[in-house]
Amino acid sequence: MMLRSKLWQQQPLRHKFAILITTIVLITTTVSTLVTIQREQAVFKGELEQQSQLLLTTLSASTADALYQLDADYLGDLMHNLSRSNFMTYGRIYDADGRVIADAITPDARFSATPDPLGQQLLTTTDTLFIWEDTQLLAGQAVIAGNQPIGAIAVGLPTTPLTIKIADARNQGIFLGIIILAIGIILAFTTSRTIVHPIQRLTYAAAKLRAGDFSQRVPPTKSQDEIGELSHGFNLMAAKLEELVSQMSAEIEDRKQAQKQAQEAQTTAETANQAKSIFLANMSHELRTPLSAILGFAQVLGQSNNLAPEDKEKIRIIGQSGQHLLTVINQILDMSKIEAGRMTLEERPFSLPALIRDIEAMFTLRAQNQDINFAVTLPANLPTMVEGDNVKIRQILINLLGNAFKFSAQGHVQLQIFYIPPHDQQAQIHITIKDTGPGIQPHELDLIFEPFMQAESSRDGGQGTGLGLPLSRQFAQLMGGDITARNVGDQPGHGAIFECYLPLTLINATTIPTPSSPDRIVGLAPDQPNYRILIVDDSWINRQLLVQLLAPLGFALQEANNGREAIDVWQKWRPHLIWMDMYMPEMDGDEATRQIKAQPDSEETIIIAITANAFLEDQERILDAGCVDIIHKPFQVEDIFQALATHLGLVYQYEHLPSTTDTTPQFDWEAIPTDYLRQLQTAVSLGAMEDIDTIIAKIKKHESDLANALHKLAYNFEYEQILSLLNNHIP
Amino acid sequence: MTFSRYLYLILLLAFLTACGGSSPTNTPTNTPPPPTGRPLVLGDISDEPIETIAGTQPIADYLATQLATYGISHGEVKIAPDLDTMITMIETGEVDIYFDSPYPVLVISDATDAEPILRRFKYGVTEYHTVFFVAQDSPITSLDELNGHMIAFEESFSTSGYMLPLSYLIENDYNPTLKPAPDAIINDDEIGYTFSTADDTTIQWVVSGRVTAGAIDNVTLGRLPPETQEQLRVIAATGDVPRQLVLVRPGLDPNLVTAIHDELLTMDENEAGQAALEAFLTTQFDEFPEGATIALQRMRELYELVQLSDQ
Repeated sequence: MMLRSKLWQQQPLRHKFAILITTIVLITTTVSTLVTIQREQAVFKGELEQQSQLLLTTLSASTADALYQLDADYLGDLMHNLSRSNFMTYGRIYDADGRVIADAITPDARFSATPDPLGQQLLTTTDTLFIWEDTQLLAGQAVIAGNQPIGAIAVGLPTTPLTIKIADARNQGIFLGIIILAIGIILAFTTSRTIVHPIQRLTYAAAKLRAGDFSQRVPPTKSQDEIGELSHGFNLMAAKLEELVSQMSAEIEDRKQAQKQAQEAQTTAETANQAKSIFLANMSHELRTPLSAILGFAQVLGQSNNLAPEDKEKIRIIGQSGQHLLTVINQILDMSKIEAGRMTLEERPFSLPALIRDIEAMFTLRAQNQDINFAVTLPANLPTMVEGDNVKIRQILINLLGNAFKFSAQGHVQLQIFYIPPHDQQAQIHITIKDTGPGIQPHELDLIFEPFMQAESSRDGGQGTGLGLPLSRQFAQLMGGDITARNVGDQPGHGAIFECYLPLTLINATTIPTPSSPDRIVGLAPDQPNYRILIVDDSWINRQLLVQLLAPLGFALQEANNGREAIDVWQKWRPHLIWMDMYMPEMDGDEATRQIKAQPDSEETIIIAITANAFLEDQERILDAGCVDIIHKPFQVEDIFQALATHLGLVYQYEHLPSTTDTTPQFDWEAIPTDYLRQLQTAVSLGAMEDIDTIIAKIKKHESDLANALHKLAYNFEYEQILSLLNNHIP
Repeated sequence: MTFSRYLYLILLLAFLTACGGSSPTNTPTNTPPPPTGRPLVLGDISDEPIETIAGTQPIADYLATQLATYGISHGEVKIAPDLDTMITMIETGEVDIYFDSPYPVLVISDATDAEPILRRFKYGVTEYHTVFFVAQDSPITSLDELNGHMIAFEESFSTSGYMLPLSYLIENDYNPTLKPAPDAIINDDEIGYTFSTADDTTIQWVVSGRVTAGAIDNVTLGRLPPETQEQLRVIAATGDVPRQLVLVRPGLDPNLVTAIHDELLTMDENEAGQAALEAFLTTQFDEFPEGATIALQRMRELYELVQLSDQ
């Protein structure tokens, strides 16, 4: 059905006209012929029945006496004579019992002792009986004498004339149909020319219009009918369309131009952004390298037993400030992450009072130097342990306080902490930092939180990056809080007030791990091989850092200033392990590693990269070159020792430092299939986040607590910590 | 056949002609010139005069042609509706030659002194006889059982349908009694008989049970289809008699009689004669094998028995 409908829809209009008209003509002719045949049949039947009735009446009258006498001779002669006329197809006379007395067509049928069924039927019928057969009409009636039937007569008249008449009518119908069909087709094509051709012209014009030729018009027609109106309307529409399209083309051209300009601007911006990324990467490296040395030596000194406690405290402050400096550097990268929408929170349990006390200690020294008062007020109900991104909270406080100290030449700086316990909403802390500086110009109140606005506002405390306040506000907002600024007395000149509120997640203090004092490595366990270790770095300080760290353990150490020297030393000395800095002049660590690993007998040499580069794609490149591990600058001493233990199988001797509490959760590592751990190790090394999530989901089926911890680490991109854990538990 | 029947038949044929028959064309007939000599007239008794004339005219013409030397100018056929009319025609000389079965021939001969001269092989049959028959399912098995029953004869001047069966019954000591209608009362010591007017009607009466038995000639019975014959059962038969005889009127020129005799005997030997015989439904004419006197003697005995019965 759908196919036939589709086929019909695909037909041209002229074909549809021809088909429709032809169909109508054919149906009309057929119906007319059938009606004629039906009428002829009815008339003929009526006439034939009349004729047969008349014949029966005549025969009844002429045979009544003979029937009474059973005069078979007379009746036989009568039938015989009737048969000569060839008018009858059937003729029989029956006696009172229905026996055949005379037969016009088959005379031998007479004298039968058995009654004929038709004769018997006629004898019991009062009216004339008509039986229509294929080729004849049988009519019969009883012959009555008094009230009794004395016999019956049946005659048959041929229907051949009817057949001929029907054939004639049919032939006439066919002939008429052909004539009308021919007329119909001519009419269809005439109609087609009158109606379809203008429509075809319209269709053609519409198609051209659709193809974009808006100047297309149909020839004007004199006809005032619907086609004429349609043509006129089409031309008006086409003219209007042409005008509209012309307007639209102009607008589109304008938009394209604007788009092109926007695209060029975007390209420029992307180029600038790329340049910024390169700048950030370079700065990251340049700053991290010396900072790595500062922090490293601070840790080395911190390992010494020969220092007085106050010196150790100072070294600790050096390390802590260095860490802060590193954090500031990272802020620059963080701003890039924020701009890209990739900044995430690294939540962990921490002591909020301890964090504030650290800050207080940090700025108390500065307050003394600046000779201003620094007051810190903590509420009595301040929760001890919370979960959150302590680094960012710390950074917020440092930024805000640094800003206050910067602009307070005299007077005081007040840090007030308010705690709002959880009620209808999450618990919050409100931090208020009030200074006695010049305050903020009203028009700058909104600008100071915009990145890189330091020059205009002169209120940034971010050591010249212009990012301190914007980053702080971004961090606060990321944590669900915010930072606002106002003037004391609402007018500049009396100091500024910065208010920050942050939601807090409270945790049970008894379940929180507290930093434990690590066991200090004092040497290698007995019977350890005498390993040869090559330190490659273009920075003498950095090389010395590692030398100072590793020499006390009894390793055989050599140094190289760049990649080329490293290759020479490797060829002569065949070290077991190489600490390879990646960013060096003449030949960088990447190339040196590649060349060493290209040597046939380089398998026994383990190369570990040391890099300040934080980008993932660089890590992949380093591992591809042949390095088995990467240590990021500035590294922790534990990272170095852990890497040596992992790759050389070292066993250390420790000096145990007692800790007050040790509530670090103990996980059932034995329950995890080793394959999972290895797969996770590979996935973390490659930074394949989806694979990491998949494997952690598998681990969760065996040890859900460990899986949750791993998930938290992975979520905060603490891949090195995950690798460190894995290295300790993979057999 | 009554007049009213003929009238109906004519009307019927006219109706049929009007309905489906083709209209006859009226062709002008050429009237022959009036004859110069006397005609030779052949007579017959028939209720279908037209058909009978059509069949007889060829032999009349043939004989006339052959007998022209005897002053015969042409042949004519005259049809009488009954036996008495024919007797009159022969007595008055209107009919010269008459063909019929033995009983009417003997009646006319007896009445007019006309003389049978030859046998006629009508339908190729030389002699025939009468059979008595009943319906196949009839309990009657012999003539003895017909006492008290009705038998149908053809008509009172029929040889096979009257003279032969009646004389047979009389000779066999039955008591045939003429009855006016098939349903008339019949005594147990008599066999009632009545006339059906036609052999076909006789058969129909027996089949329809209107009479118990019928008597028709064996030739007619033999021409019935086997199916019809199976409906009937013959319970008795008479002796044979000639199928038909040729009778010439008294007073006819003896030379002409001889010439007629000779022409009839030999006409089957030439083509014209055979054509005339075929139309006359006759194969040939012949002499009485045992001589006319002897041959007619037996028939005359039977005739007289019937005559006595009629009286």
